[in-house]
Amino acid sequence: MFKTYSVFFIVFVDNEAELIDDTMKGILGQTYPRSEMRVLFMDNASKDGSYEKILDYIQEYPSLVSVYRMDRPTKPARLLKQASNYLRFSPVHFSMFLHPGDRVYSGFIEKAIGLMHMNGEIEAVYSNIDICHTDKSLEKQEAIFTDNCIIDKEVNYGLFFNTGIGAKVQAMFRGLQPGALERLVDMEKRIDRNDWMGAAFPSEGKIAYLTESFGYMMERVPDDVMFDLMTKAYSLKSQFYMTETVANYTERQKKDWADMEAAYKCIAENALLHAIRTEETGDIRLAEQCLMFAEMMCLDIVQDEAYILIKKAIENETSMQGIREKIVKGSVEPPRDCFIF
Amino acid sequence: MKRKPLVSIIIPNYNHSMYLDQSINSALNQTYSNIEVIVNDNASSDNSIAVVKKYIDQGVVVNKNPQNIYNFNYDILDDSVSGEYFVLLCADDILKSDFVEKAVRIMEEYPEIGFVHGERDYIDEHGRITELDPFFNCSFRVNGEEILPIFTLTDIGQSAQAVIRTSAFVRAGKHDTQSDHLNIDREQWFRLAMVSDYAYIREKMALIRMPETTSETSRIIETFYHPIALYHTAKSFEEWAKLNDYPRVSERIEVAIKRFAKECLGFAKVFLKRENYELAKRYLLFIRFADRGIISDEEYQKCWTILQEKRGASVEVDEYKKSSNYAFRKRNYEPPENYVLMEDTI
Amino acid sequence: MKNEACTYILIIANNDLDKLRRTVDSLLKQTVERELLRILIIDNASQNDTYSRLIDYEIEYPELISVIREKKPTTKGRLLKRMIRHLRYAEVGSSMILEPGDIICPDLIKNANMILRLKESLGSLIYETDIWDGQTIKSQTPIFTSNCVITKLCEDVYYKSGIGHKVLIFHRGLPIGLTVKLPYYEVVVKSHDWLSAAYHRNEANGYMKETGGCIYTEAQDMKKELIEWSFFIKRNFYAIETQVFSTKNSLNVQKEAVYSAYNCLSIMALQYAVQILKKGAIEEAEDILIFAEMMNLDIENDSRFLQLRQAVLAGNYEETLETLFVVKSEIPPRVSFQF
Repeated sequence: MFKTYSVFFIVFVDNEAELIDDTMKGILGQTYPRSEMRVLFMDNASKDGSYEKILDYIQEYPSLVSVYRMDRPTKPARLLKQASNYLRFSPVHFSMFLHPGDRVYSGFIEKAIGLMHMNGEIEAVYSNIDICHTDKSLEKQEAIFTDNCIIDKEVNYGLFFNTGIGAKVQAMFRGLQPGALERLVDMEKRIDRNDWMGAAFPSEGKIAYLTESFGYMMERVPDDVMFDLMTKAYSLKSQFYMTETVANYTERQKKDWADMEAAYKCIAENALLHAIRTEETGDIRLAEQCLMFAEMMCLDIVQDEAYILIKKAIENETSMQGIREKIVKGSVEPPRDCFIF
Repeated sequence: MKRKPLVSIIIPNYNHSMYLDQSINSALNQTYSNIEVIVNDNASSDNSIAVVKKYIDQGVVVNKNPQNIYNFNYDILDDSVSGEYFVLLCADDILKSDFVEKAVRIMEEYPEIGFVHGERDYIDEHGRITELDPFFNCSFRVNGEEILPIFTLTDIGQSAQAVIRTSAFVRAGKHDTQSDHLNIDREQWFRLAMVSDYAYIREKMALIRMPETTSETSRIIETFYHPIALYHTAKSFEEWAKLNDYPRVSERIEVAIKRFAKECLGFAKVFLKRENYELAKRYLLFIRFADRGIISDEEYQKCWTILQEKRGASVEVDEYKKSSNYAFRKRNYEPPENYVLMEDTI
Repeated sequence: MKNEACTYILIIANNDLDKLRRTVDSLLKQTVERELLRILIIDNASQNDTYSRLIDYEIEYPELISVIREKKPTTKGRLLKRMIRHLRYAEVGSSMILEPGDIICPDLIKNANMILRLKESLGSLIYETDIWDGQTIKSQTPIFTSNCVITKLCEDVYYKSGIGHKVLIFHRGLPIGLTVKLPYYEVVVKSHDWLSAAYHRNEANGYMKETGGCIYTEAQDMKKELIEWSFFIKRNFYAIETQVFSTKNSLNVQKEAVYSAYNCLSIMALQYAVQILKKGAIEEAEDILIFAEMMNLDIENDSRFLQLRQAVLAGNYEETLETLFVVKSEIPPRVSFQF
């Protein structure tokens, strides 16, 4: 009885009125038929006119745009839960989660849906994106892999932690990802959806990665870097709880253990990237905390060249130029068992 | 009390068949008459179901999960709450017979109160009781916002010590294991206090089981999960405080984190003693990470030296698992500001 | 923190524990690994004795059987909804809804799981079934002549034939789609109806010609059944029939389906009318004829209808009437594919 709209864009808005236009431009500019798309704004009880702006958009595009306003501000995890709940009677074929200020380039939806139609096993399509700085300049990122590829998550779980450190991506999911209605995996709710690391969760299924840049995201640095890192660490701990607490070693668990160590190393390296960023702000305390955090999560990182260089730079108050490249490697070849296209 | 609305006593159970008789009886023997008792079994592998069966003639119901779903059982048992009030009685705990009556009377009189804590003693696996100092020095009721800062540091009471008004619980977002996971009690009290008022009964209302060893606690400490979860919870409260404008909570967060850091020092010593230097190092790093000032602490410095020299065997510390450790804690704190004394009404 | 995905059998218990035993026994004989099988039974607020005996089941088969109890008696739809909700954190690889008295072939679960593993696009497998009414076992004429996959492109097959036909449905995962559409189920819970497979018409479903088991169904009040089916069809096609939503995008196949559905229901009614006439309930047979015409006005041009009407008005049952509405297996629709 209900029409199924192919694509749902879900946008969480938290007092970001001035950024909504940009995102809407991206959606309106899609080559994919507009009648097959829907936009749901989840308004986190904004007070800056965001809600009014959304209502204006609804008036202008009544069959495209919809809104749900929370009565009191809440956390991202609960917004996501509420969105899932709100859409439980709307059969959703494909979905994309956006922040205001993120823009999807015009061909992405068509390409991603085409891919998922052709291959029923693909659960999500990820693509490279550009980063839009606060001065509106666009920075290109190097693609994570040298070729477009299809990755089996269960077989290549560690890949999401071994590659693309610090890389940002955008994704279109089949259905209302992440996870089934009632099961939001911890990582998904906390990880910035644009983190490549976040693609690891949930841990089954196949995803496609496109090297071409199909959009841009607004540069976002968390207000409380430590909270952000710690929450990701917490999510990882939950994810690997069984692996860490089981005493017997089987082949599978050896692989899980390797994946787990890769994950902790990845988050430690993310902390190092934050430390490098403090050069602009001069926040030495934060830089030191990042180093401590990195060591706490991955004891071996103290032997890494990047760590040593950062530590020296902080102590001697010298520049951290060039250290980033030691962590953020260039494009790598996809693993041999991935399908390249 | 004129009205006697239904009170649901939900008993989540996993392999606690040896304690179920006591907990179920304590629920059935409440002086309050309108009670339903529901056991939520999380796929126990012992004879729990056989134990519960003895009570189904008295109206006790047991719902069983086909697979063990860990802490998500809390979310599932939310579905079983049909009373206007409810108690989450852990399968190994015991309620005092007049707890529900006293708590419901308070909440019937004061509709703004969303939950009531009673006091507790500990009981071990052999039935030996350790008497504890009450947390506060009097019974009182208070506005929810006043008690919020306290929950940043401690939970005051565990699940079995609380009778909760279901409508407040729903407003607070019910159980949300995906977001809360560990520290479930504390997060829950915090969220309840954001939407309702609080009352505290200084009388001992529950016996909380604290065996010599709790395997779950050991696991989370020994996989370095515990400090991360604590830090995350503290910051999570800070996030709520910012969203809803509770400056006094925001102020307390740093204090809370420093307190946790100090607690972790104890764990670090235990691991040094066990000569598990990797784990000890992580804890010591965490402590410094959480509290910069600890570098000047003598004890902390000693631990670092012991770590570097690998002299763990020389450390003097008790293993963290003993329940009898708690008997010596002195509490009886002053209630938060703007409290209203409540001796007469109980 | 993951459990292994299991096959879940959902059963709504009634007071007939002998029938339940029959079903549980057939599940105990399944060749699938016991650890990967789970049975969830919901007790619809039965009297203490039944509940007590259900608990005994739990004690007898601790890792296999779980029981949950609904405090106040409620409708089948709500019970089903509750069971599905109870499993929302469980790892459900596949599931079936069975009623007490149903039995399934020992290899069914193992084979069905294997097929679902191989064919990842299928949302469910629909098996033929025999029917036991407590005394005799009847087999049915299969709907199609061979196995096939029914996709959205040929979704009208659910309505074109086989209204009233019984099947066994093996779902991938939980039948979650049902929870969305369950309000219909409140009235029309017919988990063994071919027509109910139309709930899953948004997925590709595999039709299996082989008989998966034998369901138990008591003699039905035919008039009630017919009304329920018409309600079901009406609800399903509400949007198209009332043009509430724009019909521009309705596929032609859906419009055809509407017509097919009512036509099929009409024919079904006439089949029933023959049975009822055989029993001598002439007035009831007349009612059903009226129903048939109400559902599909064109039927009065059908010579078979006219013949039957004459017989009913005269109160004469004849053997030849039985052959008027014989059901044949059809060749699978062209847009489906064999497997």
